[in-house]
Amino acid sequence: MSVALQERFIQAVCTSVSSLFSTMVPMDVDTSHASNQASPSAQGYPQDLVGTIDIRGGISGSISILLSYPLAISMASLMLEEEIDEVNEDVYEAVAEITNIIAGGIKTSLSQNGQAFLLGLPQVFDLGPESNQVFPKPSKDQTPLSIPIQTGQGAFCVASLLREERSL
Amino acid sequence: MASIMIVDDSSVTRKVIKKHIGSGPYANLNLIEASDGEQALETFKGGAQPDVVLSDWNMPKMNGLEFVKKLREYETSIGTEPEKKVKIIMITTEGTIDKVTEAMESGVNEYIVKPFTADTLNKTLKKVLPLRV
Repeated sequence: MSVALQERFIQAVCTSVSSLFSTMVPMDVDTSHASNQASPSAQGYPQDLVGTIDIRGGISGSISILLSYPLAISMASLMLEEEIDEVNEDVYEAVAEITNIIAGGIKTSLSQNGQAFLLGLPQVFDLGPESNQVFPKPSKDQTPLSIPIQTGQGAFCVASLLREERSL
Repeated sequence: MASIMIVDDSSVTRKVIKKHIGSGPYANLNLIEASDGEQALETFKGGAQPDVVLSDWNMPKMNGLEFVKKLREYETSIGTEPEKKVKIIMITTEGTIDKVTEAMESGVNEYIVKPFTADTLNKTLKKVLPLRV
């Protein structure tokens, strides 16, 4: 995947994240230092919960959101405007929708160059705080991109495994 | 009393929409929920007559665009007069001009791109469902 496309992707992540967290999930986020980092597990970013969605088109692979239980609970509480004190179905559903909206925003930004993309439906995996599983697992032809996002309540990570498809 | 149907596979999004409607000028309207296009279409065929449908696009079983097309076909098949056809607002992450155009040409009346606010939702509802004073 070209450096230019990686940079466009990171910018698309920042735009999409900023839009979501200024509307449906009112939480302070700082995307000003967003850049591609080493894999999230190597950096110690929590991945208690992982929301993931497939993308196909000019690039193909997956877009995932990795976050801790406490941050997921905070985001769900803000989204639903109600107090949530444990990981429950609402938290899973909120993480799924957050994944869907962030990926949708990325897709819209990338589509501005005339490329078409398709998104799948979001899935959520509960890996738990003790997991040392490396998620997502890259295959050899995919470029891993891990973009940490700082919030007032800890960091989460937008992690992607992407392959640039050749134009036909 | 007027009613609004919310069609979205995300229970959290349905809850967010219900809260937004509940906090605005349409708080006293009846709300009907469906988790995909198939269920929503069956609800219509079962006799439900909401004034407005708020539908997601990407859903399992039957997506929002298919649902809109089939609903418009159904309305035509039962002889619904054009001015009595249900108003449809699509609420989706599909934000490109091509997608908006495709939806409008398929029978969608208004379009909201996620993420959205309560203000955006209630203002868009006002366009298709004028408030009775």
